[in-house]
Amino acid sequence: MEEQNAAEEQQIKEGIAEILTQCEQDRSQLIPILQRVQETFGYLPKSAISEIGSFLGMTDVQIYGVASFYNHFRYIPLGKHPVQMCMGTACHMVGGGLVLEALERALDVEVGGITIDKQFSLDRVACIGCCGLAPVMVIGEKIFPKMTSTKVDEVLVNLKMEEEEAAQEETDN
Amino acid sequence: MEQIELTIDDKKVNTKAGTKILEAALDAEIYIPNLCYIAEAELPYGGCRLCYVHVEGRGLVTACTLPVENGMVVHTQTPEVMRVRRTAYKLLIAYHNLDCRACWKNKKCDLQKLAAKVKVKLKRPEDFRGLPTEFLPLDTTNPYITYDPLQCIICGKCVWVCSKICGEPLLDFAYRGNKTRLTLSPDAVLVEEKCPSCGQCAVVCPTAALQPQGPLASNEHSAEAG
Ligand code: SF4
Ligand code: FES
Ligand code: FES
Repeated sequence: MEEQNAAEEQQIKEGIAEILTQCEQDRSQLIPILQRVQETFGYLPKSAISEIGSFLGMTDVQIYGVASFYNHFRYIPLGKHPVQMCMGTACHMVGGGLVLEALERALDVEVGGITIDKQFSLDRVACIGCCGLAPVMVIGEKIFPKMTSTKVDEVLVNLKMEEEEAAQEETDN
Repeated sequence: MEQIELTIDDKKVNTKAGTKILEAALDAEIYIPNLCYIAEAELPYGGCRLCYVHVEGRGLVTACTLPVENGMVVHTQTPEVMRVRRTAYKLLIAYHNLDCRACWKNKKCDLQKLAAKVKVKLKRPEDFRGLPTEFLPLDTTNPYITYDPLQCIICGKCVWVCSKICGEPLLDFAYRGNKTRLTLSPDAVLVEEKCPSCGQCAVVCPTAALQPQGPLASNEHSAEAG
């Protein structure tokens, strides 16, 4: 695990260095740089914040202050299966909150968190544009319409089974 | 330096060009409420909105941001001015934990002292309908200072003093809207490396938001005793 972390760190470091070589060394470039880092890693790693800081001559808190202004940036990685629960008006009205609670319980994470095995991250989003199917849950690219709290376990179990099957097939081949 | 003459509350005031109305008034011993004004700062912050005055021909302006002009006529006490100041003050305490008697800064708090000046009664905690604390939790990542966002009025004084002393701010605001809060540092390790633990942020803080801890707290104690 530890080795893996070190390797990951190394990878992040190199990735950031790579991005920074392509960027202008100017404070006005802060947001574009943050966007590129997030595009590459799916989140803003801690080390990225200080690397960008020394690159632009800003302190960590200044960068964090800018980044945290926008909901767009996140500070922990996405899970292998990013789960998003819609909390837009329509979904909220028909019990989206209950589904979200059920998700928190089933995955044992809080909104904005990631499971220990890094398989699932849980986030709430505002309207995803298919209110007719409310309440809507999205896992990765897949949309789950008309969710209820009782359907949560079913969906998660199915997902895990699919994964196992896929893994099985891979070993078979 | 060019001299400017203006009238504040029927009093003729002479001052240097470039001076802000607030400074000119305070120098002339005319009090205007203010919480975010820093005399030495290059740019006014203008965040607390308590220093509203009426300038003839212009209407309501914040006295800490507007430079004086020749012949300017300023009123600091009109009913309209008092009303907007009161509103500004109420906004500052909208989710402030007003349990003043139990607060460590009781009687030393600028925000509390100002209440009388803007004629707002500080209500008791039973009336407190603030943001839930889990929304804005206490920050204890810095060993020398704790930060309570529920007491903070986002005046920016601590950020200013920190960047003045350290050359760059080790604390700054983050998030936005009513979730705006100070970040002492996203990484506690950095604080220990860089922060000289001078405690000046807590000294300038007009409220109980920044509380000295550990060695800093005992320093203050011994200074008071001695
Ligand atoms: S912590 Fe104190 S000094 Fe800093 S912004 Fe808040 S109220 Fe102002
Ligand atoms: S509110 Fe959920 S999809 Fe529109
Ligand atoms: S003193 Fe003018 S806005 Fe705060």
